[in-house]
Amino acid sequence: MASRKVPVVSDSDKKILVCGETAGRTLDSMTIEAVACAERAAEMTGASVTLALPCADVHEFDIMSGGGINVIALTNPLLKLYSAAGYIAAMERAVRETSPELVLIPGTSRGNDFAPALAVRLGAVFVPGVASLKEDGGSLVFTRSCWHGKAEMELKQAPGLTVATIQPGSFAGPAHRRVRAMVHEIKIDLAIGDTVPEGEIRAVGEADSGLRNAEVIVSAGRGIGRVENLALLEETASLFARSAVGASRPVCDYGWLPYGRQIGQTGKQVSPKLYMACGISGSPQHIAGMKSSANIVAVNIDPEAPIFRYAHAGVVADLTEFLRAFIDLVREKKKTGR
Amino acid sequence: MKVLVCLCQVCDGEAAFSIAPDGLSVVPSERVAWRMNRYDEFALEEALRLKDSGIAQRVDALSVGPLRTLSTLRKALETGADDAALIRLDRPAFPAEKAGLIASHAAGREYDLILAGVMSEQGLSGATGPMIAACLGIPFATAALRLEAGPLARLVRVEREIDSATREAFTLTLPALVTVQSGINRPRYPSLSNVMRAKTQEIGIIDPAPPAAFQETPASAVYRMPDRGHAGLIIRGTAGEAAEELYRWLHGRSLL
Repeated sequence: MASRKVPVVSDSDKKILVCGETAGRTLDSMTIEAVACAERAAEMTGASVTLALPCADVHEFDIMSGGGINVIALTNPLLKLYSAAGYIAAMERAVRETSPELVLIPGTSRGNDFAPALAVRLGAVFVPGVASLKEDGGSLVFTRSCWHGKAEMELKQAPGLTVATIQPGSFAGPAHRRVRAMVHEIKIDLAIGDTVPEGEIRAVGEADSGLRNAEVIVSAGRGIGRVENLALLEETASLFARSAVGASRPVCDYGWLPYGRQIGQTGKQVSPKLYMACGISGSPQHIAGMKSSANIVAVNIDPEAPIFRYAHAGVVADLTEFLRAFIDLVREKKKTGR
Repeated sequence: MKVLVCLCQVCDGEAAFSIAPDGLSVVPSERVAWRMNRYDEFALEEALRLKDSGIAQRVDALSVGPLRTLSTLRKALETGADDAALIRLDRPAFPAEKAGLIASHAAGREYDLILAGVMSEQGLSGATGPMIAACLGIPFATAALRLEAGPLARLVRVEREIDSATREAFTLTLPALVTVQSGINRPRYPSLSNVMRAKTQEIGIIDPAPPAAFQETPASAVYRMPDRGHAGLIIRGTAGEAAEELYRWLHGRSLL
């Protein structure tokens, strides 16, 4: 099974290498997104796509792909557990094997951990958090969010090697067809170095926040100002059936709500019928957790808050004044039968 | 243990700004308030806790930026850092360049542990920390929600965040670099005695030599305002009027 030679599906010189994370025998959802992003880039530049999987042992993976894709497994028993050092060593080897111009890494917790250091090791340009792609004069142009999520930066790919991470939720599209790809194994050498992984720790007894089954989520951000104002959000939520109160990360960091209520890239990903963002500015990390909601309402005092770009209805107002008026109005309407 | 904390200065998220006509920079309004990046406040607190428990003997703060960054370093001294230094850079820089400058400064100063926030609220890249570690060739972990160190062992144990329900743990051999996720602690306020001490304390200003390390940058980097999105309904007016309009909108969609 061990093979040193990577077959070439496309005869193009240009190559894109995607780093995948595996969850058992399936690829995790962010890897599928990264492949989708790579295939979009490949359409623009005529490049071929290779998926590199650092893993402990090789087996067949089901891969969602739009077409032909090369898969290489970089194997070593130590890769059973994630470590930045292990993934960097594996991806350095994958880059030597394939000589790509672009390495795409899912913007997961782990991807964000090792990708910047991999870029330094490879002497590559690093582009974090790619949200969209376009082509300009034969080069790729990456768009990413910056300046508190209020501005965007367009970065044109330089000659040489670029390492980029992908902002979760940006390239999720219609599911590709399932292909069973041939996996070529490359055994790599690794030693236990100065980073020793212990493995995953799962939080126990996390209270059910009710977020998963809620049809309406009223969510609190830093802009609620004081913990006392949470009562207003709970009252607002109580106006709707099957509702729950969620939060952005800072509200949980302040200890105002438990982390089980956190919505975003590092919290829960939700898609209720109605998502009402109260005092949430809309960082890319938060948007990643709620942007697929059917209806998004944002209430914020700052008309430039990025959340308004995603809102189907946006209220520019002082939050507490508005919510008090809204609660009174809805109660009145309910009492009088509308 | 000797600890270095890397701090960056950001402007407030609500501050008005514009994009320069050439698109090459973001220009904040003149009255903007500059402050310490919130993620870095957690990193500084983590360093000070190591000092409180007798594990760290010394906590130094370091920033890369223009002279206005001195106010953030002053704040670090007021909060309890022993010393502070600024690598002066009057233009914006990519994380790779900042990391190269910090790594060249830290090399040879025998820091056992380098701490930083997981990302800058402004730049949102989370790259500077792991890049410093890569430049120095030391082990690292990002997004730490727990950091344990002993007084003697040349090790730290770190639990890093995968998502709200999952962490993963690592033991790193010192010297090492750890970036800190928000919520790992509750940052303290400056104490009166530290505020008094910080008033007269000098902050070293270093004019950087061009970093020997890594400076790869994209072919071009242009800022722009994002598209307006799907241009939803925008509601303004008094609280009562806005409530009425949102009610109608929700009612029209059978949501209320």
